[in-house]
Amino acid sequence: MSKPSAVDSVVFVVDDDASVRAALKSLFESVGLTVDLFESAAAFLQSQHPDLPSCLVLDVRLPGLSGLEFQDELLKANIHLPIIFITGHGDIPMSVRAMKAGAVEFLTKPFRDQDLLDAVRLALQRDRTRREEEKSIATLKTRYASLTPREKEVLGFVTAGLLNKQIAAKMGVSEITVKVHRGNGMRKMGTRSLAELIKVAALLGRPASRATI
Amino acid sequence: MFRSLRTSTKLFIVCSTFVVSIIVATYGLVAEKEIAIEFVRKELVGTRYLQALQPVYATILTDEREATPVAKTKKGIDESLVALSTAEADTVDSLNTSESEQALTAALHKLLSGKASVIQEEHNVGALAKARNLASRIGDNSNLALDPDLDSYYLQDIVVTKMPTLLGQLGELEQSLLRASLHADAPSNYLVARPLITVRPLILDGMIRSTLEEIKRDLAAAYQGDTDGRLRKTIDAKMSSMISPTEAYLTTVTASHGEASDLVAFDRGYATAVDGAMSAWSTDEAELNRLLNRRLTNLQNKLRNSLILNGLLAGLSIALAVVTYRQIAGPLKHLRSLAQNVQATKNLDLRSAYGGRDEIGRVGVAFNAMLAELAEAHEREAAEQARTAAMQAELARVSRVTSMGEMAASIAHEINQPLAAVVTNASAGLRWLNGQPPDLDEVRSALKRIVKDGERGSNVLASIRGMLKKGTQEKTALNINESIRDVITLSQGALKNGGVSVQAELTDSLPSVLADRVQLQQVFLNLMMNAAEAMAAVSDRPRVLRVRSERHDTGIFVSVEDTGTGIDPKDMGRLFETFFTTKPEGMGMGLSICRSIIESHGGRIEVSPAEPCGSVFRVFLPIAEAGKA
Repeated sequence: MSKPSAVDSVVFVVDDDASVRAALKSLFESVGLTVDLFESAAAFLQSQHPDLPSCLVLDVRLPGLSGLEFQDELLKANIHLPIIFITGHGDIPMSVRAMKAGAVEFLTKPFRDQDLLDAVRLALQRDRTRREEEKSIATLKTRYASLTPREKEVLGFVTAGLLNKQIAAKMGVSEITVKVHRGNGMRKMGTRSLAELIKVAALLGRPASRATI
Repeated sequence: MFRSLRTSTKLFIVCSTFVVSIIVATYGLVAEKEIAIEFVRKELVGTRYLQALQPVYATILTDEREATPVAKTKKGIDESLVALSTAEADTVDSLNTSESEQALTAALHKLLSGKASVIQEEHNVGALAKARNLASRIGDNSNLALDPDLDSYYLQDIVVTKMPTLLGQLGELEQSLLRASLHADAPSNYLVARPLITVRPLILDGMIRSTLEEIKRDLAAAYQGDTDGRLRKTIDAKMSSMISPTEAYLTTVTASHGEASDLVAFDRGYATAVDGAMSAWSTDEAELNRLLNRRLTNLQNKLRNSLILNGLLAGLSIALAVVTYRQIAGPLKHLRSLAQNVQATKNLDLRSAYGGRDEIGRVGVAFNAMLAELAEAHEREAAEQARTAAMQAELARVSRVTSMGEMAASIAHEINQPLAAVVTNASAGLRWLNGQPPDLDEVRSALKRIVKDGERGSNVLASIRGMLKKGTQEKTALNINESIRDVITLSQGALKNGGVSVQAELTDSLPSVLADRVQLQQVFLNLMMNAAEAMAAVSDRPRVLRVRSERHDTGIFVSVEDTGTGIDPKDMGRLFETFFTTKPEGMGMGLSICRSIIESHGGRIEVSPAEPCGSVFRVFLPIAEAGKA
């Protein structure tokens, strides 16, 4: 059993049954997870959530807004929390719908603790990855922003696959100048090779096509 | 008024009218025939009288021809007188001829007293005149002169008028010839008068011939009406044997130019003529009698036949009425008894056997058709009922199965929740125990939660068992206000959370009701929870739950009223149906269970809109009877 650090993630539990909530809290805490309990969807939406990798353990049958409707609401609000559904009497259409809408797992009560913990771990991992991706893209954006217009232009042509010579001709500058801008740009973007630069460009959503012609 | 009479009475009236009309017609017919018969009878009386008159003529006419002994003449006259008076006595009532008869009798008496002389001749002629007078009087008074038939009319004319005339003229001719012969014996005395004496027979000769002509004409006319020719056959020869001797006699007389030259020849001719005439007269008379009798018989036969015919008609009409009555009343009675039979036995397979082609037959056919239709409708209805019953049974079964399925699902959820909690707690406890170091506090609290969850599951099962025991409800006499207060207390927390204020308006000292306390509380709890839910969305007015109890004649009304959103009128009727729900997560069980509970207590539950908003549920429960409480 691994022991993840105590504060790097949080599990949100939404269930109207107090005893189920208490049991889940104890279970998650026994494996060192931080748990936040809510008795309804409304209560969850109203509360502040820490900006940590997190996931949602959701009872399908909830008073007021049902679990599935809650899922829809979250999607509409562009909140990308991985969701694990737990239900007392799940059926196939319900689970299909939940999974289609992006649920990580659909568990029927009573469930094996390991299944739930695996699902939570998977969900947290997924959220962490997503968060890291979002985070790295943000770094790249910052780096990209630090480039001079010339450097951006040169790097654009580079990612489009043009040779230094061709770039120099296009820009009307000397090949040496191109090499200087290219070197500065590569350094600023934290890339060591052309391949790496192209990957970063793809992440930033700046395809080479813009500079192709 | 006629309509309300029985058919038999109506038919009786119709039949009686008919019979009466027949009787009236018959009476008229009989009266008419009686008149005709009376007429003929009177004629026959006349002919009988005329028969009596014949010997009188015979006496008068034979008397003067020869030197007959006075005694014989006297005897003849006496007999004639007797016959006359007898005939007159017979007919004195009907004919009224006594005057003429007396005149004749007087003339005959004169004949008796006189001798063969001129005076005697005068008496003879006078008697003949009187006799003729009597004959024509008889003819007039006895209707003979009015006879309606062709043959008998002309025959009576001969018998009544012509023959007496002829005989009288023959007698007068004989007298005049006799007188001429007397004067021939003394020509010197009567020279001057002689031509007068000889002219007289010549005049009479002409008169007799003309009378003969008239007789012939009458005969010809009578034969016209004689259809079977019998009359002609009978009297033709007689008439010829009268006419030809008479004509021969007249020829003889004419040939003598009025001179009484050959008295013997005259007398012979005269006797032959008179015999022929008398014989013809009596034959005519007999024929006339025959004709009249025949007519009388005919009339009587006709009368009898008419009477028989009318009697038959009346009998027939009565018989027809009886038959009609039988044919109307019989089948009607039959139909009525059939209808009563059908009504009594409810056997729609009965049929009327009467199927004639008359109106009643058609009624019978229509009645049968109606019965068939009824039987068919009955069958359809029975089939429909059977199908409805089967459908209801099926529906009940399905709904029972469905509600059991729903119930099972609900129960499963209720047990699953604590079970899931137990499993999760146990898993968590194990993990705490396996920790390095084991966290015994967490293990302890997990175990405590397991105990709590286990108890909770056990409670659920206990309550389910309680629900399953619903069929064997324990009814006790209970104070309904206490039950209501208990429920209010139980639900106080939930109501407060929902922001609902409770107003209890409970009437004091209500009679107790016989009911299962737990079930009744379920009902009130359900109604109050529904009311609280109905008011959850209300924010613009106070959320008030008003619970009332009040006395009614035979029971107690408990009403639960809210100020919620109210019930859609189109849902009002289905509210108590199983599985009908207006809540997204509702199962549609609550109110249907409420209703079955209340109905199993002999009460009823109903819902109506409250004023100004919300709805009110009213529960009626009958009060406990003294004996059962």
